[in-house]
Amino acid sequence: MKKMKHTLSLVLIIVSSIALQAQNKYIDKKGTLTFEASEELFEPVKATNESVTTILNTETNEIASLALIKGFRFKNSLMEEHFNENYIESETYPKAIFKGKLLDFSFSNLMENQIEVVVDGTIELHGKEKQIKTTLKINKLDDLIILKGSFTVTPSDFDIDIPKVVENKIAKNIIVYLDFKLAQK
Amino acid sequence: MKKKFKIIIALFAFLLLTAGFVYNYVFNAKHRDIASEEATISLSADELYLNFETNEASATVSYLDKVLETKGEISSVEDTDVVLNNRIQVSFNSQHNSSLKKGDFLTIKGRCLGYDELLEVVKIDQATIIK
Repeated sequence: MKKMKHTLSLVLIIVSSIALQAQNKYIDKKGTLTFEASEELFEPVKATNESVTTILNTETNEIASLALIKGFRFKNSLMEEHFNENYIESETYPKAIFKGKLLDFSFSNLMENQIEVVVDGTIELHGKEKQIKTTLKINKLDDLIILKGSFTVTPSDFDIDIPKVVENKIAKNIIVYLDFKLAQK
Repeated sequence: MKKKFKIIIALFAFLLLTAGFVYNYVFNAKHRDIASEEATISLSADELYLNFETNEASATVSYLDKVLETKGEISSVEDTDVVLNNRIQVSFNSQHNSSLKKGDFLTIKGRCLGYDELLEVVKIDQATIIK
């Protein structure tokens, strides 16, 4: 009897360790990030990156996201050039990285209906770090975790100088929209 | 009097034309067309990855925003992207040929976006298939 118990617990340990290895990682390689800093009456200042990487660990609720700056495409090519060369200096700082956590989130309770989740973490951009806490919407659709929402940053958060000449044409608050579809890996 | 008038008209037309050119340059400037640019650098998928892995900063200076030609074996096909040698993620300019499959050798030309340390891949966008 005792031996059987031992065998059973051994089996349990093996099964659970396999289950642990069976990955709690959800990945999106082609997420969308759009930022907008448009002012009324002026040309829209808006760019979209359609190859943003996001990794979510549903065990620890840790989330990391990376956008290569050169992947942000503007409608206006000159604006794109200025953004890269004068403002964000993408040759020196080629990426933006977010590392954080989903707060009070339980993956096992996630259903098809959208719920709100608070995300807290740090964005590193232009050699500077900035803490971000925002509420996003999350739901599960088939095998995908869908994460959507927005947050606000300012150029000065990341020591990005906006010259006086264009000051009126670029909004003080920049809204960043995100749309990620994570699949299990 | 008549001469003066003509000069003013000419000047005005000139100004209008200049303004038009400036406006066109600022607001309608064309994006780079990567497909029609010559690749300035040609190297294998492994070499490209290795350069970023050993020294990301110097590889960024050498390759970022440059048009590269690279060759490798397709390790996965995902929607509109293919991954070469598990190391280079390639996004195509337009819908790529769906006949691409895992195990094929592929040479592409595209713009280098830099190194993604989460996935440990080098990303290339606006790619076209060379062969």
